[in-house]
Amino acid sequence: MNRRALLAGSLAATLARPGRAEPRPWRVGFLHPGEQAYVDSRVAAFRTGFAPPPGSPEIVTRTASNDLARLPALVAELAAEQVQALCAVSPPAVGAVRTASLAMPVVALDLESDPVANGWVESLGQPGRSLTGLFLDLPEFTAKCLQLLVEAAGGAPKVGVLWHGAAGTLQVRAAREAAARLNLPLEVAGIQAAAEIEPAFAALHAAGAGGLLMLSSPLFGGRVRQMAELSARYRLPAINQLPEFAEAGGLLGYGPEAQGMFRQLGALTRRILEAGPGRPLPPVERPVRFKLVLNARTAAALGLTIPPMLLASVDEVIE
Amino acid sequence: MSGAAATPLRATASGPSEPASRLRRVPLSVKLAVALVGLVTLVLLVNGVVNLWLNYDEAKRTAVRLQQEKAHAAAERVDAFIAEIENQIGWTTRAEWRRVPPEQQRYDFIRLLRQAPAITEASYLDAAGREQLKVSRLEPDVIGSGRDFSGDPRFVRAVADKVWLGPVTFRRGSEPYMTVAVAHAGKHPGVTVAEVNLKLIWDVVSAIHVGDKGYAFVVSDTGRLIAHPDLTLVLRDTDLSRTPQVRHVLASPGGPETEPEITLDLDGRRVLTAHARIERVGWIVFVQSPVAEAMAPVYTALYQALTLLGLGLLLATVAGTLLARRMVVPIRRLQEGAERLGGGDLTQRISIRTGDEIETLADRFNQMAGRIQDSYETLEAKVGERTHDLNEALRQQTATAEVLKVISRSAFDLEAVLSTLTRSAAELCGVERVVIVLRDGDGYRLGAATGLAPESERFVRAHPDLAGRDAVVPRVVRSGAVEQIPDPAGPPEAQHGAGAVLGVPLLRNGAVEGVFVLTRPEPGAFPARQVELVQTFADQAVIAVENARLFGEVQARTGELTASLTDLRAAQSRLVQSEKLASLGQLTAGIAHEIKNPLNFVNNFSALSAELLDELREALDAGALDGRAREEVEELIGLLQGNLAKVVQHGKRADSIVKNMLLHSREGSGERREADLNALVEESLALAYHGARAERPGFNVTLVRDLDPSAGTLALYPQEITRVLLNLITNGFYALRKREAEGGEPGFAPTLIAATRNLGDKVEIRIRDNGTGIPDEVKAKMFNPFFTTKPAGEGTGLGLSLSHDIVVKQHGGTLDVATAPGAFTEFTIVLPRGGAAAPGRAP
Repeated sequence: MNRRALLAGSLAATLARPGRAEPRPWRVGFLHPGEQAYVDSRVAAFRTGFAPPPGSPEIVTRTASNDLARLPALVAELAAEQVQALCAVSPPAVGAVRTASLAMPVVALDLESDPVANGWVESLGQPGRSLTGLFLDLPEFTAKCLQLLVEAAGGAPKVGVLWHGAAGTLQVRAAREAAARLNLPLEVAGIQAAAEIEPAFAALHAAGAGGLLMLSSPLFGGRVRQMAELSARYRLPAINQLPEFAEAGGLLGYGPEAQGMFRQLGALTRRILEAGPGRPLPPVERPVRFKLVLNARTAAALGLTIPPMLLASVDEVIE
Repeated sequence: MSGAAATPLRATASGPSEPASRLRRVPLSVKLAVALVGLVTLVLLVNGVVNLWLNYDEAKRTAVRLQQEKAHAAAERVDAFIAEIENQIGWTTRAEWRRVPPEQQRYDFIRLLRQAPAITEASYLDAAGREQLKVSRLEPDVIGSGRDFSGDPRFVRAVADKVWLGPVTFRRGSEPYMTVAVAHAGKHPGVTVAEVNLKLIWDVVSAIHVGDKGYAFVVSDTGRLIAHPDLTLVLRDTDLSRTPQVRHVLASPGGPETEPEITLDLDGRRVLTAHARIERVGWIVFVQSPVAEAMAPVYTALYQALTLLGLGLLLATVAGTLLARRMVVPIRRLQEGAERLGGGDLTQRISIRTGDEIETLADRFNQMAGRIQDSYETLEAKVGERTHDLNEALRQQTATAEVLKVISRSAFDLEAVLSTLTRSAAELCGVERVVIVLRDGDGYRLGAATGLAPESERFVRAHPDLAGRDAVVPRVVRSGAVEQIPDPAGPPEAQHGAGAVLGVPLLRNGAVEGVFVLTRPEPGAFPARQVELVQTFADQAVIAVENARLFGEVQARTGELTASLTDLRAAQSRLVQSEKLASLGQLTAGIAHEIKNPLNFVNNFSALSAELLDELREALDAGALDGRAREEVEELIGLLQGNLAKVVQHGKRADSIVKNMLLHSREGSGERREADLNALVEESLALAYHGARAERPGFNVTLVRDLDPSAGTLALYPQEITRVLLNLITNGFYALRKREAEGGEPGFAPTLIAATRNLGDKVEIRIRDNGTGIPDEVKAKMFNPFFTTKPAGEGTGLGLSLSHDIVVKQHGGTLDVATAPGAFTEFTIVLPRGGAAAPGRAP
């Protein structure tokens, strides 16, 4: 009798949890407007942040190769892939996902827009049930970058701004306000596609810009090497909001580490999925650590003398 | 034997009541064990419970104290975090710092930001409370903005208290920040204000480990969550002031730190909570760990105590059981022994050497068992003996009954009865050989034998005189009583190698009819019982012998009676036949007498008529008749004469018949005289033969004469006897001729035998032919008058009838016939010598 009860109990327990024996891996959609080759390393970082290797999720990646018009179709594809959560990188991608109004939670990585102002979340602390993510909605940070560039460039008479239109106007406005405060003439080169990058450099060079502020955009983030080479070719001391830029040969990179942000995004996505559907999403997060990287070789090549004040703030110098 | 007797005893002793009493009874060992174990258990339990209670209390207090200590430690670490920030700010608050050039000041601030990652922004307020410098991580640095903070608490409170720690604020409702303002040294000091991102306390808080699953968190003095290992909760701007533990602490702000308590955490798990205040900022650090974990030592102590208790119980049980067993073993053995004794196994002895009362008890049991066994054995012997006797008697009775049955079944089969008797006697007395010798006239013969080899039995039967040679037989016959030769000293062959011999007489009316002899190889006297038995059997044998004898006699008598009855019947039938023939004869004679006169007329007148016809012819010859008329008359006369000749002829035949008929009624035709039989037969034979030859010249027959010369003479009517013989011989010739005419088989030799024989007072004549024989239907009627098988005109049918009359009535002899159709016929005439039946008898 006892043995039979035990057996029945264990059998019932086995039947009651059919899925537990072989847990289905999480299925996450990953939407990026950039190019596949660049996205792969980001996905890897995301995966690392999501979970240590055994619990690795299935990640369905869709990249627009900078053709933003494709984004809605890609969103539809991802929705059809039955993903449990969707990660969208950059404001256009987040916008496309929002437009599609999907049932699954959306985890955004957006360094360019204010989610509250855009109406994507109710508040940073209580984002609601549809969208959360990693946002860097600090317009003043652009101004800070501009200040750093000016200091590094040794009082440039004119600063050029490279702006990817798709990233929104928040930063460019901040840059303009900061420049106005500093009485600094500003030459803004807005572009829409990758092909326009080099002509923009030429134009800024021709306009007599003594420094270049690159507003953040996945378009630029995926092409740090090209940007660094162009900066060197046109002898423009440049600052980018990715520390990688300086490592790739640019003069200054200030901002959160890209790989770190994607890891943070992965961890956040994991928390959302573990909490289960229908639960309030965790608060909007911000990049925690900012890193100022200076490429001393580039500075030397540009003939710049970096003031000690700036050196004091630099976290890492590339010799 | 004892086993067989014991089984029923056991069955009754351990009957239906035993299982019930087994169920009801609790063994002594169990009682002892229970008592022992119970006692030990009680002591152990009391001890264990007291220990447990004390231990639990102690362990709980320890756990709580530990938790409390952890809370204090956590509070100290959070406090250290703030102190470190204060400390970092400290070196920008030197008295002379205000005189440092602004570039240097900015440089210092940049270094401050690099040193303290939690500080996101640092600003310098001069003595007037105006902002002179602001260095930020995320915003452009501002120099000499001149913003007035003179009325702001960060300036006022800092100047007043040297250090001011602002309230916790949440930027955009999410990230917790705190303003730390430190007044510079000296008179009219400025203030360095730092904005601290409290998110970085997370590093501190998550580094605090409280056991495996425990954690620490920090709430502000309003109950807002400042730091938690789960950053999400902090960013979500969680208000914990409603949770019981926080509410409890907030309710008594200045109160002493209360004892840790067990409450529910945010996920509803039971946790042991302790807290400590950070006085500098008024925050409260809570340390929580799951009750299970916090109390693990308590539970460990509990488990240890329980294990010890269990071990103690086990030991007590084992020890108690062993001890009880040891004590109970002899008692149980005693009980088993007693059960065996009670069950009837009296040979068992209980062996207990404990040297105490139980041993004494066991010895008593053993003595009792011994005594019972003694009396039991005596009883058994008696019963056995008695049973044996009864069995023996029963066997004998059964055998006797068997014998009686056999005897009654085969009462007249002496052989079977005697065999049964010998066999039963051999079986019952257990002897090898049993023989019944019966008296046979003066000698003895073997009646029946058992145990005798077949050849010797045959031998004895073939030589009846041997049967009486047995030494004991003559002795018994002499004495007419039972004789025993217990150890015969006589010649061994006389006893056929026997050891002891018993002879019992078969007595009938005091005469010894036979002897019942028992022999066996072992010498010694036969028991009285066997002798008695054999006597009974002997009596039975006598009865059987008598029965057989009587039966034989009855059978003989019956045979005789049957024979006389047959004779009587034959005589009777002959008598009837004779009477019948006699009356017929008289009738015939009467008729003949009456017919004779008319017949004489017929004969005489027909002869006369014939003569007259001759006279008529003569007359006619003389008459005048023409030729044709004459011829006609002649023809008529011829016809008449022919007719008359036939009348005469047949008249004469009728005359002859009448004469024969008259012979029947005539007594003693011719005179009675002595005559030689053989001569008579010879004469008849010759007459008949010549007669036959005269009638049929081709007739041939072999005549055989077998005449007894001693036949002699006897008184008879020779003519009559000759008639008889002629009759018979002529018949024989007729039969031979007939057989020959019918086409007798080749080699057929017609033979007629005539034989005489002297039978003393009778003589016998036999006439035998090997002719056609007489069929049965003819044989029955052949002595009747007028019965004939010959064609009409050849025989009168009176020959045999007359012969019969002559032989039987006239001579008082017999006439018999033996015949086989197609083979032979033999007539036998027996005539008494003495005389004819009724010589003077009238016809």
